[in-house]
Amino acid sequence: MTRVAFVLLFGWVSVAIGQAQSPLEAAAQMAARISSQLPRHPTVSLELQNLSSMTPGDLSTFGRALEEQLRRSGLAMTATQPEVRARITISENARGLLLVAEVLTGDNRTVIMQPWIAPPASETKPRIRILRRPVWDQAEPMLDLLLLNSESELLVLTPTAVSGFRMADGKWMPTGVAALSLARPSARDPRGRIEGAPGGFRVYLPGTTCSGTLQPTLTVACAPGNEPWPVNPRDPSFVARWVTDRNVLESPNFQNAFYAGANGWFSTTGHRIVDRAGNTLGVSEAWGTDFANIESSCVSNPTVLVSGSGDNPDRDQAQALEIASGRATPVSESTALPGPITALWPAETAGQATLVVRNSKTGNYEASRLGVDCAE
Amino acid sequence: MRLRAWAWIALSSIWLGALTGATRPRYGGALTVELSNASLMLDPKSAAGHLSPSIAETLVRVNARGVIEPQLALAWQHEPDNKRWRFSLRPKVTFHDGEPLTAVSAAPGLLAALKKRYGDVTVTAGGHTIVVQFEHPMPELLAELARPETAIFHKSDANPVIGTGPFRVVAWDPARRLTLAAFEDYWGGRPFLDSVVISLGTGAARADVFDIPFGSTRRVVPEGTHIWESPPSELIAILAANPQSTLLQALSLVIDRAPIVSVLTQRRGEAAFGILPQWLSGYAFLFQTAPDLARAKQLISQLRLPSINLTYAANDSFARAVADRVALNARDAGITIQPTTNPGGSLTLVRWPLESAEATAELTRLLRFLGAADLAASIDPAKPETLYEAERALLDEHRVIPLVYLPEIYGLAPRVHNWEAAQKRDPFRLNLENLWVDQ
Repeated sequence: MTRVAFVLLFGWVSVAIGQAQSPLEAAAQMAARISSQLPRHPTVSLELQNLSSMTPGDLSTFGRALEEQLRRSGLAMTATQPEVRARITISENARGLLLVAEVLTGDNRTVIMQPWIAPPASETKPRIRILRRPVWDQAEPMLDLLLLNSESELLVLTPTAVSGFRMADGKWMPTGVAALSLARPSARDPRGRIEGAPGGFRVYLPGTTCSGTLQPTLTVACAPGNEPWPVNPRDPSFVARWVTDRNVLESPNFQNAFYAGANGWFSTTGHRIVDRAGNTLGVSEAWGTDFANIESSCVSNPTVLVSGSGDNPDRDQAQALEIASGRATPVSESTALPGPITALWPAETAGQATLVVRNSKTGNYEASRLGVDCAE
Repeated sequence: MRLRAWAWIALSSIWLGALTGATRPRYGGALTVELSNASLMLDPKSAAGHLSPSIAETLVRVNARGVIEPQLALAWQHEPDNKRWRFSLRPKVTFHDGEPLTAVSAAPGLLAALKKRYGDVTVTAGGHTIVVQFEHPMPELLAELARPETAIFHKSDANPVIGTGPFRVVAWDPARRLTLAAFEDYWGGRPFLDSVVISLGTGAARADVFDIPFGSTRRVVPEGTHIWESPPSELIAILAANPQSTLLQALSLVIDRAPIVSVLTQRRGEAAFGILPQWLSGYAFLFQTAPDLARAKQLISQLRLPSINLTYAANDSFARAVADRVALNARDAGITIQPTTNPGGSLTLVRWPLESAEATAELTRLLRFLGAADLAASIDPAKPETLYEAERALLDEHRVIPLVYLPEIYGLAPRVHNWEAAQKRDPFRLNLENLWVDQ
């Protein structure tokens, strides 16, 4: 009762997440505010300056939209001897774009400011080599996902829960959430794996192993421990398990800790790709720490999808490499990704891999399925 | 959360090597840090300083976009009048000594910290809930609770700060050396580094990470060192003890900030005409003016001008250089300014470090410091014009003359990774927990 009363007493405070505005919407709002400052319908000149990261093309689009909206609000636009000068600056602060209008009438200056959440830039048209099928995105980190029952059901693994979804009318509809009872705090750079099991699924985290059911409801039960699991669902001979509290794996197939492994090769904490005997794979330095086996009918040798290397927090890349005779050779161009890869695993379906990228612009985690398209 | 269409799409492709990625971090190793300034270190009495968030955490934090985020508090509510706030603590958090974080363990320290600034505050605890109550409206409480001064920690005879942060204090030799070790049970995941050793005031550039303050002799850095600059994060300005409007207006007109930026900061600084830098406010460009010697001379033509003392900190060689430059400019207009380290000058050269990317909190803090509480009260965070108008009003009173914004500059050894990403989280702190090193 006390809790109910307390909830009624207080109003929830939440961070307002503004809606993105198109250039037209932003221009219409600014035009309305400018015209409201003017008592009648004077002649107005419009000056535009850009102090932001906005591209010249987008600036031009906004400028045209603003001029049109000012006209629609009844102002007469002129370039010569205006009664009012409207100087619009596309500025930027820590939170994003800021439109600043200086309305100059004689010696009077009125300043109007309007934050603008611009829509994300559209994706550029690609040359097709690697295909991506977006599956799910969310603000919370995603470690892995599992598609079940002819891809009509989806399980999303986060550091703290498994969420279930069912496809309906082309959309994933939530079916339940089961919280994970962790034996240890999530590792920094959290990693984990979810895979199908008879009657349900299994979850493997550094320090915790869980079993789950889908029917009648989504449930999961966890226990401390690091059980081994097959890294590639189609290769039961290669098993690995997490090192507690870390982002690395250990395996009877290999004597050192490693980030990822496939086809007898492992990415070590020394950032080399080596085999069981310690032989180094001849490979471009662009090969990062994550890679996953992917089957392809058009490449005769084992093929892997690899992440990029380096310290860039804003972008990453994926590329398909063929491994033969101790060398890895690119068989696709590198594919630009909008942020660092946080997970790259072989999928439960042949010819696919699960990819999770943290979009550096939106901050969201975007899960996709990657496939290799052999058609040129 | 967003539902996605279910279709294959093609990705943009480019040639190998044109992009870089994000290598997965490696655990282990020790990081050495050398700092020139004690204020950057942990202050066990106040828990302030750049390093303190790595050791003792606050209920909430401000991210790089100036947005308040949960930290030790997962959620919060307040009454409509902003006098009573209720915070729900994050579960399964422990202090470095193994004690669990509860409202009872957190409340006394929080109350003591808030009492220093607000006499009418009470803090009550129950289970995992803390209620903070004021007799006056406190809409800015979240920004206040994000400051290191309100960090949650306790002490023991052997350890000055037992917090909940990703690193625990192993050894603390005041004003000389601080040794930290990874906190294995940190709620946000154990840090990648095993340990961090921070030394103070050696003046050398041998460590993995070292700061390069303006005016320091630490200019020669080892080959391969990566230099990182924060956004402008410190304002150098002149404060007037007794505003003499006409004289100070003339002085502000005659100061040429371009040589300060180009010569004294080697183009690493940014000319300051307002209080908040452009990257934070988005409107600082509106204050920009060019020096106007003729107008300055006209303003003071009827005044009898005494010599004016401009006080700067005795150990601050950069401030001295700026004071000399101001005196030079002033002389051109017939104003005699005497730079001095003696306190009590009618003008004082101050350094005003920003603490967060929350523009409203930063401007309010400075306005309150200058005794302009009325201007602070006029700010509505939802209306950027109100920040501009408050700043404009302060500048028009000529109580403060902004001169230059300075960034923080660090040298980084090649073996240090993830610095850029770590600092993106919060450019005002050293975010050690996300760094990792080659071994």
